[in-house]
Amino acid sequence: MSRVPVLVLRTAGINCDEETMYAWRLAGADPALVHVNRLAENPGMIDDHAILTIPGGFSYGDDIAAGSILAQRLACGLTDRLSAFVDRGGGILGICNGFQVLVKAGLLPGGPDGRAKVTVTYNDSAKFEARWVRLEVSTDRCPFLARVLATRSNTEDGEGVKPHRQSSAEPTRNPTRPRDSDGVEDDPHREDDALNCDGTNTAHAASRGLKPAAQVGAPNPTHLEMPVEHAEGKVVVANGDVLDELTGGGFVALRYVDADGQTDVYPANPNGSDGGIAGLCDATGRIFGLMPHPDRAFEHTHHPHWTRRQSDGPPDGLVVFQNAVAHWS
Amino acid sequence: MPPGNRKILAAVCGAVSAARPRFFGGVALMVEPQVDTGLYWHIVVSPRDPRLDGAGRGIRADVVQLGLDHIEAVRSSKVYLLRGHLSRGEVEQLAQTLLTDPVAEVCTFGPGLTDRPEAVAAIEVHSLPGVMDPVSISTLDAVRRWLRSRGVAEDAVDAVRTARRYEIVGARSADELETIALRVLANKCIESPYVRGFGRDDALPAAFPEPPVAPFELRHVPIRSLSDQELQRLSRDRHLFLSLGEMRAIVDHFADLGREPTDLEIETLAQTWSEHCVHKTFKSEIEYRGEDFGKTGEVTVRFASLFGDTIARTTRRLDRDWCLSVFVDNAGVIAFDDEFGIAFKAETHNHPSAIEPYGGAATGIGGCIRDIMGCGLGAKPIASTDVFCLAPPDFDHARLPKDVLHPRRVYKGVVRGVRDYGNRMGIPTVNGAIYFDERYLANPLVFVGCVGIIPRDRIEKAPHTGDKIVVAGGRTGRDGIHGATFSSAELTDTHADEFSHAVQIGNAIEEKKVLDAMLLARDHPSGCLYSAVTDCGAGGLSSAVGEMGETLGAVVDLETVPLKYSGLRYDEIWISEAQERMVFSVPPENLDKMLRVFADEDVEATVIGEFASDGMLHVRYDGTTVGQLDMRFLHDGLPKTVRKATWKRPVALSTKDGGTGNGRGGGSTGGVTTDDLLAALGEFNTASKEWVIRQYDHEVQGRSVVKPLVGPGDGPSDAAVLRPRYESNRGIAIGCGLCPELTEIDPYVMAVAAVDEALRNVVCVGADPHHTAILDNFCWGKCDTEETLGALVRACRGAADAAECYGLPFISGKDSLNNEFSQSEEDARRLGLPVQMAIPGTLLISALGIVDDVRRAVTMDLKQPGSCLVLASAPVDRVGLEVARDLHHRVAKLVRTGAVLASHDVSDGGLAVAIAEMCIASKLGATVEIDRSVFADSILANVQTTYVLEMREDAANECGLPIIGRVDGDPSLRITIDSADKIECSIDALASAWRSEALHAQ
Repeated sequence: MSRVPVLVLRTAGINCDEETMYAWRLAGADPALVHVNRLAENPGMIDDHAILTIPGGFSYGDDIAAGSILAQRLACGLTDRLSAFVDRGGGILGICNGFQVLVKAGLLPGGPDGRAKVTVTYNDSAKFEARWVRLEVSTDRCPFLARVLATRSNTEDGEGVKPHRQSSAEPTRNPTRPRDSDGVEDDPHREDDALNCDGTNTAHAASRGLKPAAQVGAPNPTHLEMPVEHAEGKVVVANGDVLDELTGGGFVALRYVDADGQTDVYPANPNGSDGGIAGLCDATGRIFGLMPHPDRAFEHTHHPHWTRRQSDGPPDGLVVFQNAVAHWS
Repeated sequence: MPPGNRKILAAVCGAVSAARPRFFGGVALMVEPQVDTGLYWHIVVSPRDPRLDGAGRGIRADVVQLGLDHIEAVRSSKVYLLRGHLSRGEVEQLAQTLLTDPVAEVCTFGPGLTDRPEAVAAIEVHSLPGVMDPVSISTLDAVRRWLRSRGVAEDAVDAVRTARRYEIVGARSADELETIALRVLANKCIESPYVRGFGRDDALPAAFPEPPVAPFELRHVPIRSLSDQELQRLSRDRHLFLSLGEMRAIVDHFADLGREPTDLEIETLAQTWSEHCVHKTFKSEIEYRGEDFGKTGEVTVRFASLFGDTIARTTRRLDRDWCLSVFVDNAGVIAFDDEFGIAFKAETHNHPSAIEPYGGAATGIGGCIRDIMGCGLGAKPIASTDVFCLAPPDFDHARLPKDVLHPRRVYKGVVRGVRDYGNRMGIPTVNGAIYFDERYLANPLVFVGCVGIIPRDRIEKAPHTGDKIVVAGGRTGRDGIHGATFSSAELTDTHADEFSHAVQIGNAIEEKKVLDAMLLARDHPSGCLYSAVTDCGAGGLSSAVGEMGETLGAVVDLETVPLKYSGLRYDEIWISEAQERMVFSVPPENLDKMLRVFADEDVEATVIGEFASDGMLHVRYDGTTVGQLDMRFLHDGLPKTVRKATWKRPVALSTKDGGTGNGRGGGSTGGVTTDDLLAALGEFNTASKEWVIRQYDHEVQGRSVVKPLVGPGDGPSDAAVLRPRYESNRGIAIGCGLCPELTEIDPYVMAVAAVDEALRNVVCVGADPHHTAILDNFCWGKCDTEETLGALVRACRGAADAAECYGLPFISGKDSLNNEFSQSEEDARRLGLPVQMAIPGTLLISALGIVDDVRRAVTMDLKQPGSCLVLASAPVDRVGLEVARDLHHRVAKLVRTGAVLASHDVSDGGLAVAIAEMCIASKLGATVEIDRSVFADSILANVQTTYVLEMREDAANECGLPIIGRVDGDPSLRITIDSADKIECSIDALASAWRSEALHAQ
């Protein structure tokens, strides 16, 4: 089976392209990094790909407003091309700045007057904030999310996980395996051979006598945990009717929730987003954007509490990419 | 001339004050600006709803801090000024669709000159002309694209500027508005506020000012006939900051040549010979007389070179084969694995940050990132660090010296500066510290560090004769003139005014573009397209080209340098420190490919000259020679000096604390109560820095393994761990050590303690102490007195001795001297401050250690109720350094073999605070019994080198270190000291004491 071709767009100020490329590869896709100037010269290249990704960053410095100048660049000349791409079944993923771009280009939530309904603007705290959040999947039509539950159980036997990236010097390492079975292999640079025996010398959680994850805050299968890192991530809707329409219509893809399921309590909702909206999808579900960063949650060691828990299954961020690969394969 | 216009004129002329003309090259810049009479539009974009105005709320919080708590609200807006010929309808459409968010914002607009009368008091803040305004550049591009898409000629708009506007609700007088404008909203070095209300009605500038055009004129500076006194005056008036001996050496050189130097030649020598660029104090020969190093008794020691005989000697003696590049490049490089090295560099940007904290800190981190980019043939930055030394943010406003910014403003400004630059570049800020002490009031210290990854076959570089000199990135303007010499001077209460032209504003996106293009050229399919690269930092092109061509010589044609605006003089082009520029040497056969790569990335790259073979630095403007210097004189002509240094132990402090690393925090030796612990946790130097840390993106690039805040309670991590290569589990740990509170007692001990702390921090998270390198960054006062220099000598020896014993090679470093501030006696008396304010001698040690397997990294949050707390502690002194070293190695082994569940370094606040932090981080409790005899000194103060380790019972029993307590599921901390004093407190109470409100400025 050939790998899912993904176009990862970059431009001045996009700065999450490297990890986004890597996350796609880890999930089994075949990503290509393309500067927006090259895409503008040759818009047809998008049709060679199944998914377009706009990564995070500060495109054009986020001058005027976050994502607005790149949105304008896409809107001037590429709108029709992108619509046709999605109509033919293509997917678009916008992460953080990419989400802001999709909203400001009118692609999310989409529809004739979508741009007048929703925007993304300054956090209530009026400053950049970095923290991990808990997300509830709130739609069933977004292929990037729809299989959260299914993928989690499937990946136990490795589906959708194709490790590549090994240089010849590095032995194979499957990053989605639990840390327990993984902690003892093979670092050619390791100086202390004592580290290579098992039992008390391995560093993993079980040998440290830690309890299973369930007792120290296990990931809930219908929830995802990943970081937000932004200054302009507050989703604002024009009015209450719009919020009802988005929620009822399945456009709200992800919501910030705290341990009690509340969506409006800071800092679980880190920016004051209306309705706790953390991500949106369009009417097809194939255009999906989110403020949080799945591209910074593709390893178990990315989780801020990884040293105090055991983790099973793929890391939450990787799930998003794996879902897409499974859908577009 | 109305005051507004005068201000504009002054600013246009490169911040030359109209009242006090300043001289550049002997010609006063008083050219009248050409005023454009074209129409401009004034567009104001405001939040649709006050609830969306977080910026306004933040400003109001600052205003309330000034004591103006009757101000009900501040409403903020963005302002765009568009110059051009558009109809009202076109402007309206443009403003609505491009500049205003349809959901969150509303806009109003009008022709610039017809400001409506203000219904409420308002302040508009505009950048001074000539000050970098990155938003205006991208906005102009976007406006033109918008015009094009609608079939309007894109040159209908020919210039854009941006400004900020604030409505002040509840203000009572024009004076109050003026106070708010100057104390909160605008920094007059780079901005000018326009105030409206209560009869005050500042006229906005009537047009876009144009910079003055200076016709070409070659200028010589007659020096050969000047007396000593006249030479000294010339040095001061031209801001050369050269000593009389150095001026004399220049006179002799040109007397030999039989001509007078040009202004450009004098400037080039001053930049190259500045303390900032050449580190002459560290390279000078020094005779030290005073107390022996780490021992009692008097000695006389001669250092042929202070640096060579201390810091560099340690590295030389250790001779580690994993040190791939030390001291010779923009950054030091150590081996990471067989394919890659890790580059590390830390710098300071103190003087600019004192005057303009935001721009100073931003360009500080920007410059340090460029050092990593300019290391070898280019390293890719993967992490940044920042350390600030500031006066406490609650300092009494009434005691602030003239032209000194309030520490709270500095604190917020430097954090914003590092945040905006680092976050935009996409480089995570992963480690740092903030240290508060009143002595940093007028001289805040801003340390910035950067870590990069570089292929091992890209470390060597050298330009060749005939290679083209290519400057790439930002354009050159009048910003940052004289930064290098300014950094080498002491600050006075007139500096903010005199040196505002040394202040720069960064443009992170431009630097990111240069980085993207550079890496493409480095990794080009046909091989690296250039033979050498360096950054354009202090001294601008003069330093960059002067350094690259040191052995070859170079010819530069200054008229080819791309300019932000026309009319710069040749010497301004040569020494401008305009940001975001890199200089490459490109073999002629690669030139087309190189320029193509940069053009594809929208980065301007221009050939400005060529490397030569005659050893001469030949600078031309339009064919006329404007400078011709022998590289040998430029780089080796600086007269060598012999300096004397002395040091005497202060009497009052000499008895108990000497030589042991004692004295931290001054904790009492008497009874210790719960209240003592709560107070210690709330001390600024101990309290949570979460407000700062969360503003930094610490995870971008997806390499994060151990973050700055750890555990469910967000405890303070000892060091950061990163995975430089996604596909490998090998990692790096980054930590720092800083103990300026010990300098007063003994700078030698201070330096030993700083090295020890840096090592402790990386050992805690799992670094290999046998594969750890360090950086030294010294910030000192004026070293022209024997005592201050003596203190510096002791610090250098302390750092070198500790590093040698611990096996930690220095790989790079930097010093910033003259961190002093002088004011009039009258002011000093009135404010209760010294006339001459000097910082405590400060040494930052940054550590970079290899972590064999990041999956074995350890964090400081407690993990498991029932496990044991183990104390690992040893004295740190000259005699005991080996004992301390063995302790570090022992702890490192325990951590790296997985025997340790949590580990934490005992630093500010002492043992009780360290344990409390581990509890706060985990939300778990602990029961601890401390036998005071374990320590030489107090419980609350750091006494020695100490770790607290959490271990399982069997491992704890096995390791042979004393067990002092147990982890409890019950969230409270109980400490018994000598079976007598008792501390008992809930973890919630500890946590709330630790989260000091004062450090969480809104």
